Amino acid sequence: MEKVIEIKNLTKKYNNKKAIDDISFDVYKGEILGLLGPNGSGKSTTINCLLSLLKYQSGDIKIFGKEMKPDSYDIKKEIGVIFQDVAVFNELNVYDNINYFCGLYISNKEQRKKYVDDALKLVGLKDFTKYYPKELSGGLLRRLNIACGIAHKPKLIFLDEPTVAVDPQSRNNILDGIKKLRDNGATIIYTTHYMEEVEILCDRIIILDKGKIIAEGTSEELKKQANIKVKVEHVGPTLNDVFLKLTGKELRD
Amino acid sequence: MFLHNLKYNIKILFKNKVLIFWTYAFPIILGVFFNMAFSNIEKDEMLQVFDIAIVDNEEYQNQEIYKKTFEELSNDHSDEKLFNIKYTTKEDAANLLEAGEIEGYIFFENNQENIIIKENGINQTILKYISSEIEQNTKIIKDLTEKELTIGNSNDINDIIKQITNKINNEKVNLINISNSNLSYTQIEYYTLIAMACMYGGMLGLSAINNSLANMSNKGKRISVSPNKKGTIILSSLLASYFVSLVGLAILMLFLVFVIKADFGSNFPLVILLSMLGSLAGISLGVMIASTFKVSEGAKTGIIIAISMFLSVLSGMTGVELKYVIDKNIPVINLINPNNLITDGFYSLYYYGTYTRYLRDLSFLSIFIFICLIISIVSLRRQQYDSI
Amino acid sequence: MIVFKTILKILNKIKGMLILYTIMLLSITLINQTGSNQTNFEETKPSIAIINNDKGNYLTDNFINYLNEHTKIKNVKEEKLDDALFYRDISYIIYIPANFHEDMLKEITPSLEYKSNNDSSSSYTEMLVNKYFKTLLIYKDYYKGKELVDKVNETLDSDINIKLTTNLDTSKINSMNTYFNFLNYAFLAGCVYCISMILSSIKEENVYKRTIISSFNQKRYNKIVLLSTAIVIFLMWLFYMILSTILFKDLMFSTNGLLYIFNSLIFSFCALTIGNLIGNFTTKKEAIGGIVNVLAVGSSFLCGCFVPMQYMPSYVLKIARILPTYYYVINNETIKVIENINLETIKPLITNSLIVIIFSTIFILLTNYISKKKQVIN
Repeated sequence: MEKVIEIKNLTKKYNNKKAIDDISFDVYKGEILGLLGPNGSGKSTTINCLLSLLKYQSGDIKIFGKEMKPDSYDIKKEIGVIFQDVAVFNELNVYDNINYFCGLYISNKEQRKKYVDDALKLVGLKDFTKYYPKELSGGLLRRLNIACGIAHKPKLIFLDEPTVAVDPQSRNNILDGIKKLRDNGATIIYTTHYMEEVEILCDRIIILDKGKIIAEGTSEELKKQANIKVKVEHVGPTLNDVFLKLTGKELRD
Repeated sequence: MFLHNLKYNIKILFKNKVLIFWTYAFPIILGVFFNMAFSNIEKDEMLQVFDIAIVDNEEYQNQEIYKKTFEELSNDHSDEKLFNIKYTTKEDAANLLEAGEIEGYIFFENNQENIIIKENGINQTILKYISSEIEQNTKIIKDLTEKELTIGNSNDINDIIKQITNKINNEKVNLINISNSNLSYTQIEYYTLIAMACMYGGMLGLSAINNSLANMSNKGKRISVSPNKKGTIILSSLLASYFVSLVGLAILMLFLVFVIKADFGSNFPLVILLSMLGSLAGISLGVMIASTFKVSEGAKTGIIIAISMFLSVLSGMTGVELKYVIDKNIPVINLINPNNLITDGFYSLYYYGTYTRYLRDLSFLSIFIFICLIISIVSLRRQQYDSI
Repeated sequence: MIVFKTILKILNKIKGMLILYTIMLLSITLINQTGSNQTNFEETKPSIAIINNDKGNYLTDNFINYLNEHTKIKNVKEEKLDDALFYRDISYIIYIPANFHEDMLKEITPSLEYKSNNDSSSSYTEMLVNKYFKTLLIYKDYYKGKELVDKVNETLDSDINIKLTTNLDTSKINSMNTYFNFLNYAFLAGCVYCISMILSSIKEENVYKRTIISSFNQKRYNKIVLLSTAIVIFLMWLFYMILSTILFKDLMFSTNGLLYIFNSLIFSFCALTIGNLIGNFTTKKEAIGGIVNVLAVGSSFLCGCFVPMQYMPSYVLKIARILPTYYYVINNETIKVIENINLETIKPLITNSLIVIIFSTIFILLTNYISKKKQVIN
């Protein structure tokens, strides 16, 4: 299987404290990889290093087979990012926001127009093009956030907790949209705290804790590995159980 | 890509109500207030006719020369009118003085003139001067009459007195006025206003930079992972803010020239050049603050407003004397204060005929811009961060 | 107590602005200070400059001595003269050409070049110059040499009986007046800014929702907030009064001083009500900055805090009457010249103070109306 991302021995320190401690993993083309971990485990840091936003002390990062650097513009062209905090301009309406961010990737006007329309259709915002972010509910705002990140039809997409504080309809819509993106050939790295989403979406899962990878594999593989005995009448242990067993039941951060 | 970012940044800036208020509306509002407050001030600083009282008693009636002189000096049809005179009793005069309705009053006692005033000032000094002059003229006439009689040219005293009085009225030295015609110092207030508006433009530069940097905002993060050179993004954002700032400045200038009728002298192209450079100085300052201070966007905006206000005060906005005092005592401050360089540049175009001073201000302003931009470039070079 | 502490914390974050306004207040006052104690008549001496190209002869020297007695001759470098004239540092520049003393004694009318900025001081200077030369030119036909000069000096040395009837130290009082007028700006910009920021933080939608559903008694909460903001304003007022005592020392305890203090206390109460109104009206912090600045700068300009009232056009003063600051400043101007306290002199002060209190009451009523409307959150 073609590797889209190859990370080898990545270490990142904040003030001499290791936020990421010598992690290595690969991401394969066309899969949805779930990146899980308690707060402070290094998920966002890993993603930021992957995107060349953060300096890291050691490690090799290759995307699409080439070394990833801040000026790897050919790689960046194919990447789409949706961060946890909504990143849109309050001064622009829905259409202009998507058009602006798409325009950072696609300079051809006709092509861009089509892409923006496709993005609006994907997230279901076609009726809201003239609305301003302040006028949108939480769910719609998140959908806009996603549209801005994928309008340019990237081959690799990072989604950092995209469904936080989102109503059920919007969440379903988002999950469906992500599946559609994968079906269209994108590779997706998905971060979330909602285990049900991971169960539905992710092909493989990586669990981080304290900067190290503590588990890696498909949902079934992890459940078998964890070997949890279930006392209650269930179809089997859920991934939620696996997560809690591996990372301990104490509250983090 | 450059144009795309430019176009959208301009749109974003124009839609930012808070920024547009501070950079477009506030200077105009201030301009209106300045005009209302200052429109009379220079008329009022000229010598005005003021009110006095003279105690009209028997003694005064005997003072021929005084009577005649005061009548002349209070004559409505005379060019030389100095005061309005109320002829009253001593008590009334004292009350008028207490109530502040006259600047002073005069009464005669034992053939001696007395002036009573309540406070020291130019009007009181002039009152004293006039009274002295009457006394001095009397002295001259007396003295020269005696002299003439001794010389023995004529024996007709009246004739002599008439001649001497004629001389007193006609002898004068020839005073030639070589003053500059542009002496309205309230124009400086309007120049400081333009300088302030230029510096407020820094907020536009700040906004543009904040939106483009990964460690400043989420939008910045998005922009940083796009396949665009950082330089292209920042340059186009800055150009957008410069454009928006220039539009605001143009509106302000049109307002000042056509509504307020401020005077900028006659060399309009140089006025425009200075404005454009001033606006660039404001943007540069904003960019420098945005890239070197690691605080929230709100805090940075506050810093720019505070610095701009402070520099405006130093360049004479709340009182032109301060600018002059600094110029006299610590001139180096005026050479590094961009507000002052802009204000002074306009002043030199208005007041002076030659351009040396204007060119000096332009040069120092360019140096200021250069330094700000160098500092900004050094801070912005970082491609990756330790933390965001 | 916790409410008050929170308010103090919010205040701490915005102390920068307060410091800025206090510094501005101080610098303006200090620059406008005039030095001398004036309880006797003192001739106003215009500041002038002389460029003398005819040095070393008794005639020109005598002229300069005469000017020295009646003006302040400033030593300004020739290239700085134009600036000095423009900025009113000097009012008049006299250029004495070479061989002036020879021309004086010849039959032709001598000429002097001058520059002037046309203010009252320069008009007076011109009077002085004209008088000197007039006297000289009249006497030159009768006297020669040193005798001429002595005669001129003797004539021009006059002794007029002029008396000042006031016991007030007018220059210091003028400084105090400037200080208290400028306090309007400090109160409106600084204090109103602080109060409205505090209130906007408290009334910010989410915080407000939290407080009204808490078990803390609403009425009690509102009372505490009001009391806390009143204490904040009072402390600021106290601070500015202490500052004025440091600047003006025991003059603050004279009748005029105490009246100034009383007048400013009433106005500070008005500022409190304005701050409350703005803080209840909007919670947007940027909007508050804009509103407060326009209000403070506008009322300061229109009501004669930056430019003295006597210099302002009358139509502006008519407009200014809708602002409470106008009555505060009118009171200050009245206090400036008060010498005795009696019913006559106090009446206008009380009337204007009442007007300020009426303004404050209107603001309080408006505030109540607005906050009631806002209690039902949409």
